[in-house]
Amino acid sequence: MGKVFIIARKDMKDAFQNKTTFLFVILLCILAAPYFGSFSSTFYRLLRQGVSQNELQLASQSFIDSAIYTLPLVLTMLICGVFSAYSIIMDKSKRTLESLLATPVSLRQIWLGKSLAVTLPSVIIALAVSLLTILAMNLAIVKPAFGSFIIPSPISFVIGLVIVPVIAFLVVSLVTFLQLIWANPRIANFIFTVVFFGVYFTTITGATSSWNLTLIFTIVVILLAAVIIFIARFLTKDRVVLSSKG
Amino acid sequence: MSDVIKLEAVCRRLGKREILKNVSFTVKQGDIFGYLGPNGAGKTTTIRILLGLLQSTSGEASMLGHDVREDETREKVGFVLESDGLYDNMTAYENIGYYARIYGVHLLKKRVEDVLKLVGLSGRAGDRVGTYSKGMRQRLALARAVVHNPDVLILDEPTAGVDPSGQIEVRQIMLEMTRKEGKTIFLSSHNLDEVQRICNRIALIDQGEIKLYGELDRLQREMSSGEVMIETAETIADTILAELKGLPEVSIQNRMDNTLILSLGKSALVPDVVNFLVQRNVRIEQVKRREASLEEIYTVILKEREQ
Repeated sequence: MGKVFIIARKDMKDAFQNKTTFLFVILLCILAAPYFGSFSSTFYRLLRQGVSQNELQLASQSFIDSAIYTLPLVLTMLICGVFSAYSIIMDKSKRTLESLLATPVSLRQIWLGKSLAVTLPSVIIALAVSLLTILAMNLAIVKPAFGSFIIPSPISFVIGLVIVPVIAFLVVSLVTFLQLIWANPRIANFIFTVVFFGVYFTTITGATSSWNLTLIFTIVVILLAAVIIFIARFLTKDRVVLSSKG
Repeated sequence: MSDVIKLEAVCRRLGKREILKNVSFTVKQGDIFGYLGPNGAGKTTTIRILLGLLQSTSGEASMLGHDVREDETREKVGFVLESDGLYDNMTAYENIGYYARIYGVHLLKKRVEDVLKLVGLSGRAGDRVGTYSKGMRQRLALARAVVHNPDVLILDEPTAGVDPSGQIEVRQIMLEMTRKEGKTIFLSSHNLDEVQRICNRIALIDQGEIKLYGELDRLQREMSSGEVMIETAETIADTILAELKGLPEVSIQNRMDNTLILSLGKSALVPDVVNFLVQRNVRIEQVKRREASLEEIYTVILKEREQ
């Protein structure tokens, strides 16, 4: 695992050395703002309709439970798309990947290291932005209305903090795999766009965290993992080297 | 001397094209092995196979007694590839440090400093590699190749783009590594002069086939044109020269003051010619057989292909 983290650490350092990354974090905060706006408008609409305190609290709980996984999922996919552009694509175009392959690092270690380098910072940033958004919802709306915070339910925490990062890692692994073996690694990044819109349109349906949803996500994880285990056998140095420039 | 690199009937096919056809050679410990050939001959493919980057379609490739595809083999191998593979956004120190970590180098900081000093880049260790000249990049790539103190070095055009003084330095480093540390160097190069200066054994590949292989000295002797240069104390008399011309398979190529250049056929022996002159009271100071230069050998082999 040591070599995996050496590769991952270097790539993460590269990503954070780039000023675009910080601009992107600001953009994510702006993208999270509609969630805040949506919560605010729903909350005050219900308040105006004169719903009971209990119903208002339940509606708020439901919204926050949904936000704790939908927001990280959407944001993670978006950041992964940006970070993955630094790693394999640059390595292939600058021919640094070939040198790395000539060291005693296995191709799977490189694959894992590169995937982690994209997933870890993406998940951390997405979770940080999401938690800040939920904190802002609590501080600006929930606390003044109820006098206390609404904490997301344990099941939504499990989805947001465990299942979403695992899904992100698996999607990144799949994209990294395609970037490694395709002559034009940029095409692989379309997967992020597809997943992003898929996730986005699914999440706007406002499905609240539940055991059923957890089960659906778990099935997605299992399917993705099965696909990755299957395709891993097709990852060879031959394919990577011959798909690189030159 | 044990075989460090061994290729046995290695073939590599890419689609319908056969890139390597039954390539076989061995590189012995302490060799500086020159690997020559025109562009597209199969040099880079051979290097990629040696580094486990490509798999051979058939045949065996081993290094230090292990299959080249094993990760442990690459722990003992350093390399400079056609493209230096350095990270432009990182400093020289960070580049070497990164690879040193991957190789699991002990006392990393000291070792990185030592190799940067070895290639004369200590003063610019903190500069981003993107600001380096081509020559500096090649020297840095060489530093990366030796950071883990490998037994074998696979070098693809290590002096390409390096200025003459830099080339001399790189050559000096290579020679020291083989002489003092007993390392084995596999050097792919277009620079025939460089190969002639430092390599003891060579292989010439063309269109995926090994056309020539062996010890450079022997090949130079074998492929010499049969020219002999004889230096005498005084100018040889015309009468003696006329007699000399009469000997079977001996012809005079050139005559300058006290130097005579003869061309000898296969049956004409140098001692016979020397005896002939001594018997006629010619005082001989030096006799030198003119060996074929690598450039001549290379040209002959490639001309044979064209014919």
